Amino acid sequence: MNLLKKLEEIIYKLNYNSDYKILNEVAFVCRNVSADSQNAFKFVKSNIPKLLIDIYRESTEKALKKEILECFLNLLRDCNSNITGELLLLPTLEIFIANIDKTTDSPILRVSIAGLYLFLLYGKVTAYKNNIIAMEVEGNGLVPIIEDLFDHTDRVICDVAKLIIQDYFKSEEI
Amino acid sequence: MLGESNDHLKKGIPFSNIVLEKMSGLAFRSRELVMDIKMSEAVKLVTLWLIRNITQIANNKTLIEYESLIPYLFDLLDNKNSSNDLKVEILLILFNISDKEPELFINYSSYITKLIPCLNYDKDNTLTLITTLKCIGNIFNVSNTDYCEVNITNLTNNIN
Repeated sequence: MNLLKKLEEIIYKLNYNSDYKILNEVAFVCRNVSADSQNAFKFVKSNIPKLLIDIYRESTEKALKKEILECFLNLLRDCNSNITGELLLLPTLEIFIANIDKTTDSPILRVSIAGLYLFLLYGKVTAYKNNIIAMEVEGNGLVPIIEDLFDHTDRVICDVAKLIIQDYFKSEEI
Repeated sequence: MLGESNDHLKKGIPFSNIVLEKMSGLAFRSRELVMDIKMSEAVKLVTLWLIRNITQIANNKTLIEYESLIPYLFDLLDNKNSSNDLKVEILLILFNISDKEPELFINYSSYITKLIPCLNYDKDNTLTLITTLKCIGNIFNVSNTDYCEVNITNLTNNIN
């Protein structure tokens, strides 16, 4: 699809962070393309996800970051159809985990905790699920950070945090 | 001359209440006018300018009047003989409609390909690029409403 080539070309011309307004619109299109199962495969195979990860890391614009995270979340949702590229998974997981903190902007935290939940949920990413659980064994302390969200003012964040702990780290009812 | 600011997308002509009431009829007439093959490009350009401003302030009832115009606008956009000014007006109209009533594009999602040639980065006129991206995003959005919104509640319901 020429659209992906055009988007890639625009991102290169913008030199990543030079024009936030346009990048935000590009990310908006990417989010919606990634949600379309007919195009998601081609999207993953293109250079755009890698470029989006770089933009995410360099940008300080919250709205842009949120669009990019939602784009990754859409791709992750298609894990059950095995389209998400392996190269994309680890950086995405790292970004999600880095955002799971009470001090994170609420919309970004919502997407990130949903992303972590999907990582834990899908069988196709078992290796990554084991990585996350191994982090706890090694004492990196993801569980206390998630537990800290139990009283978050955003009810959805609070509920998903409880589900993650309940389903994947402790069996008892919270 | 269109500037770079998004404010251009928000500005509209301050129509009076009487005009607002007659908006639907005005939409019908303007649609007929722009689709009339006998009309010159100059007349079409002015009519499209009017339609752009109507769609900026129009309600649902008025926007529906323009549904049948959508494929025609895409064809006009795709036409090599159409001037850049005409294309800019069309893009702004498509943006206005897709932003307010994206459902009107459900049957025209394949027309996205006609928008792709407008995705040319020109630092002196980023408005066209931004408008085109917004249109494409809006049209993709309507065909994927189940996916694109981050709804964690739905995610959690899937497992329970």
